[in-house]
Amino acid sequence: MTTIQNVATIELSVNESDHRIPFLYDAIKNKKINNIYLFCGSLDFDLTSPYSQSIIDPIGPIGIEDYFLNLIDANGNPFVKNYSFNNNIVSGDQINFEEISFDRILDLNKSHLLYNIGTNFGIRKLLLVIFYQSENFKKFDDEVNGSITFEVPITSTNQDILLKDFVSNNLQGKKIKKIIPGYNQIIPNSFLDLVTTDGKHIQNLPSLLIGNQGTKEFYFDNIEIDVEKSYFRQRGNYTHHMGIIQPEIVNEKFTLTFIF
Amino acid sequence: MNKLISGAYGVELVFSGSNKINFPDIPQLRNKRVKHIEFCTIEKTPSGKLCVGTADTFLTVREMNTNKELIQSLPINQLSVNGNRLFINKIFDLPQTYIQYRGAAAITGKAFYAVIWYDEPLTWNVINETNPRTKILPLQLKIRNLKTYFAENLEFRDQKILNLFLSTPTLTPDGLDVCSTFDNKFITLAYRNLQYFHQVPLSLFNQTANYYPIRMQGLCIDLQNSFIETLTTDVADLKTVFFNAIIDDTPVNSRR
Repeated sequence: MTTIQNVATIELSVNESDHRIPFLYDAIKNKKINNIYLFCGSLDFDLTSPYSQSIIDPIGPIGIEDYFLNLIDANGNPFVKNYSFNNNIVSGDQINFEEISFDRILDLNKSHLLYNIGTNFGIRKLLLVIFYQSENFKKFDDEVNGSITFEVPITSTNQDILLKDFVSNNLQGKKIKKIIPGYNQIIPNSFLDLVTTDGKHIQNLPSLLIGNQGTKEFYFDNIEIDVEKSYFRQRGNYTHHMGIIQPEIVNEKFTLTFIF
Repeated sequence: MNKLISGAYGVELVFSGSNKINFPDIPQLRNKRVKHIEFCTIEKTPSGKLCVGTADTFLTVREMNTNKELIQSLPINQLSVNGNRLFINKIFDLPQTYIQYRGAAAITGKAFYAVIWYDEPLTWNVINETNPRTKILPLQLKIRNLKTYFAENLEFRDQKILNLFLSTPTLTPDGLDVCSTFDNKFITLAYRNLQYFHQVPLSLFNQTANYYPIRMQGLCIDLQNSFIETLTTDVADLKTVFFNAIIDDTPVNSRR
């Protein structure tokens, strides 16, 4: 189980001529890191980065593409050595991953991702999704006390929608435990950029990650969402599948269900 | 979810004419508490017997303490990797525990392969379940023969292992080809001359799919007495098996 309190999503540029990406990200400086996932694109549909117009690359089709995580904590202990990060890849094609909790503050200067990829494929774009804590987790309780579902008014393949434009006031004051993306046929190529009323930031969390159904579970840390500062970011085709417009899915409805 | 375990024993059950097979008496499992039992969907057992599927077969467990059949005719496909993870929590009277095949296929000479996940007081360690602090180390073994022993690795000495994740990068960090054929391989882990994991299919350590993660109760490995067996030694087999070990890293003075 992964508890979501804060998230930093970082766009990686993986250069074939290099073999190492350092963890020099201000957002996670002096923060307790809980979980880290590598988010990649899909062979079946395009997904662009929430930060740029770059397509997020799928992992696999270029042959050798191995990632190993090496983490050093703030006390200088190398507590993760060559963890096969291929086990923590999430994408539209790949929802099989391990749930590993790290739960330490990192030495960002020394922690890094080691990689070995095929040549002649240029710079590859991936997303690193880092879950971190800025305070102790609230008491865990997975009992469902209620839920509200809203339809997301998607009209474009590249769209930022403020939450207050489609959620009702009923969400106000609710301590959210889960957010469930709902769709029929279109995989949600989107990100949730949530700010909480107490200033926590869940930055561009891929909907695919929390939409995964199975034994891997994601719970929010009873967050209260500031709907005036939070966005739903659509970043991909929503009327196409395998590059073809399919009439039966033009009217696809995408929903977000908030469980509290 | 899986319960904490400290032992796992692979058991081959061969049909020899009757549709009912009793489990053998396994001294290592006498008076041990069974947490889970798993029927594996592998092609062959370690002795090379062809496995039959898990359909039309039922498990009956006689419990040692009450001498009663507390589990009667449980479909064993509920006990496969894709089935339910039932918390059995019983001490089995193994020779009085049996499976019964009720299908129509010819099964004489074929086998089932079950893994019994159990509590082994000789190997378990106290671990911090509520606020665990872990570290992750790589562990690799180049398969060279039908049976290949691990090399000594000082980093693993007396480490309390919580899980072993089988990983499949294309190459190891030091550039060796990684093995990705697991169904014909079995691992045996030992500590102080006790094989507490005995011929467990390697595929059960591949936990990235929607399987429930294995929860080892802080188990130490004597690597030089631990090994992997393979049924074949083709090119695809003679590669490196790559694990990531999740290890309890709770400071000694804060252990319960």
